[in-house]
Amino acid sequence: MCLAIPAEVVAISDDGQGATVSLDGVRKDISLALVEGVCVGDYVLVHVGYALNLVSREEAARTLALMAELEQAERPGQAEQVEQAGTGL
Amino acid sequence: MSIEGRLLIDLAARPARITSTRPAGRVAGLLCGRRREEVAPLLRQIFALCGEAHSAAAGLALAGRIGAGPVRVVLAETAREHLLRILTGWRPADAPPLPALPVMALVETARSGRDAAGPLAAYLRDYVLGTSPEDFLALADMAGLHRWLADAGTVPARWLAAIMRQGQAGLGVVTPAFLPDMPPRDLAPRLREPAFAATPDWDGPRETGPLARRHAHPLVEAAISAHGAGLLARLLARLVELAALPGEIAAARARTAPAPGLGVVETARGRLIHHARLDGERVAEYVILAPTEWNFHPHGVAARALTGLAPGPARAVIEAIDPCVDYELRAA
Repeated sequence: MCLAIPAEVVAISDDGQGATVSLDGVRKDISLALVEGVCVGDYVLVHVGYALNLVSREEAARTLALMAELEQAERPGQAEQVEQAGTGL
Repeated sequence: MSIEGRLLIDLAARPARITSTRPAGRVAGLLCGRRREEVAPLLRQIFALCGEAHSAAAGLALAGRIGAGPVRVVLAETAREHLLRILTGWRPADAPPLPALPVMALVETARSGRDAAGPLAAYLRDYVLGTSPEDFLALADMAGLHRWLADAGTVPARWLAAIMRQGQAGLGVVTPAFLPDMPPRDLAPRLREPAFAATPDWDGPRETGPLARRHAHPLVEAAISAHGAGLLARLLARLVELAALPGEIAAARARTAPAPGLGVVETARGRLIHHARLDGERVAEYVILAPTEWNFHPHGVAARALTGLAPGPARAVIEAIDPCVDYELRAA
């Protein structure tokens, strides 16, 4: 049940194989082995350290709005657990 | 972002202690009050790995039926997920990475109504199996497996041969407790229990996924007889399933819900269950039970398989069981 949280590509490595993405201000290095044509400023979906898909800026904005709503929908009693859960990437 | 949760796996505890921070009820909460037709597209957008399976389960739960097209798309998604696991993990250090783009294209190909079975079979033959899916499915014993390992010449086969050489075939052996068919009249009341979607049981914890689905295939059966229901059996079950998928995609038929409000779909990682109650055209209640909750249950197959393992072997077993979220390993 990996959520499709779009992360913004902020840098691409010299060999083009890796990228740095930013998600909620947290930066993380990921592999670009599974996608092609990624540029700085693009949004990608990330799973266990790999970019899975390239998503358009509009689609990313829509998904991020949904994710924000999802955070609002949090059930009572789960807040503390989720707090320590890390990035989930 | 913290909202998808993760698994904390403590190997120092006996049995291994698994704590999930996955928010089981949250997505369901997002669906309540929405119009019936909003749900499937929303789920496809939310879930990166199994969005098509969620969308199909919602179609069954809310409309009672899905066509052959969505069934094919779910099977293509299952193939993509198995292949992603192989692409990112089944590789000796000196081997080049396998091409990823044909794998990532499978779901879109199926969604656009084009043939996904042919490209999948070709990819499997060229990069994974080294032979046709039909020939791989005809392997029926350990002698056949050894012949295949010697002849296939593919990167995943080389990696699997190394697993065998290193004596890891029997890592994480458990006594199987596969999730059986669940009669809707028994399942529906369980889905209304608040704890069921987070820590499900069916006469105890159960395993769901490729090994549960494919354990009766002769090659998987042979691996279980020779080495137990452990690492090799799990890896072979994934390959057997992949080899079967082109044929299953080609033969896909429309499906109807097992009962009103119930959607059950097999995904790469196991059985996905949706249960919905409508109030007119709007969702009044929604429950999602995902396979990771079965397999990484505090007393489930992963907890049993990982007990007593060191971190390296534990990672191999975890990745063979294949959780859908990231995990953090703690050792003594």
